[in-house]
Amino acid sequence: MATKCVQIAALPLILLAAACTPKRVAAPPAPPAPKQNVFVLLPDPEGKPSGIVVKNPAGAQDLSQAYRAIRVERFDVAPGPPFTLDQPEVRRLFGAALDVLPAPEVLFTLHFDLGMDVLNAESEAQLPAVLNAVVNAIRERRSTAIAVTGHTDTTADEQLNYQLGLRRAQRVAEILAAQDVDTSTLFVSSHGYADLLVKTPLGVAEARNRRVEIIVR
Amino acid sequence: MRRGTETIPASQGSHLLLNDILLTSGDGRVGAILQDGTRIGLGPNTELKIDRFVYEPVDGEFGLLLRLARGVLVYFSGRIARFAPEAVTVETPVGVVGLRGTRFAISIEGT
Repeated sequence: MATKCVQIAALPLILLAAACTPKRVAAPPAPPAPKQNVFVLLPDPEGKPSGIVVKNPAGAQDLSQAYRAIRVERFDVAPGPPFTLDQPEVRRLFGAALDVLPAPEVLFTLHFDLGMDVLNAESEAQLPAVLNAVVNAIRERRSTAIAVTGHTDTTADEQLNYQLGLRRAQRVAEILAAQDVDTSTLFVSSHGYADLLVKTPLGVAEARNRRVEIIVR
Repeated sequence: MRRGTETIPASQGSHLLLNDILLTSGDGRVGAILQDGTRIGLGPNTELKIDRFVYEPVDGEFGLLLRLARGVLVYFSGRIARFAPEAVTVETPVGVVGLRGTRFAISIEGT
């Protein structure tokens, strides 16, 4: 059995990707009193509309433009008026935390024949290159958490598709294990037809939805 | 990190569980990527609890609650926020952050 777990609930939820030892870099100068609590919206990488709302019992404030910020003194004092936090100030306040953000996850997709846990001809042909890329990504990131998630199209019922997605994911986990990927790092699951790549109504045989996603974190 | 009554040093590749508390010292910092692809970065002198994490697309159930007791949090959204932005909440001692968007940062120095 190449798969370690099939129950999402039983899995460790989170991978700690980068625990940095303290660097010999001077800490930023201690901010002057009074203490400040700052909330800032950062730019969306694709420029999509974005926003947060900060609420407490005394009031609420919306932020919907990048680098707009507010200060909140206490839980029982309404959030202050929005202002723009300049980028040097963003660096000063948040640089340490921004610098340790893990790299985004890397996604690889393999496609399957209708109703089966067999790779389609195209994915079968691409398999060596994909596996090579997966193994490189695991090595580069020193990943200890690789999601292998099976998906289906919307032909047949929900329960059958859940099982089919799981068989597809298990098939890919076996392929990865044969590449000497540590099976204890594989998190195998099925999303059935709950997470369609191409949105379709029920009962549609859509090849692009019949897939396994390998997500290296 | 604190897990129940235990304090466990974190290292590259450590796995984090629900209800764990991440703690950094005065010169510490740590990054984590959650199962849904959410990424978080913590600055020095920070305490963050992973209070709720639900990522169950099959059942249509999603939830993420982070409690920032002090310090610095940078949040880059993942799939939970894409499926259900209203299911993401960050609690702080001075207010609660609800999400319509993708990336933000918070610094809690005190009250």
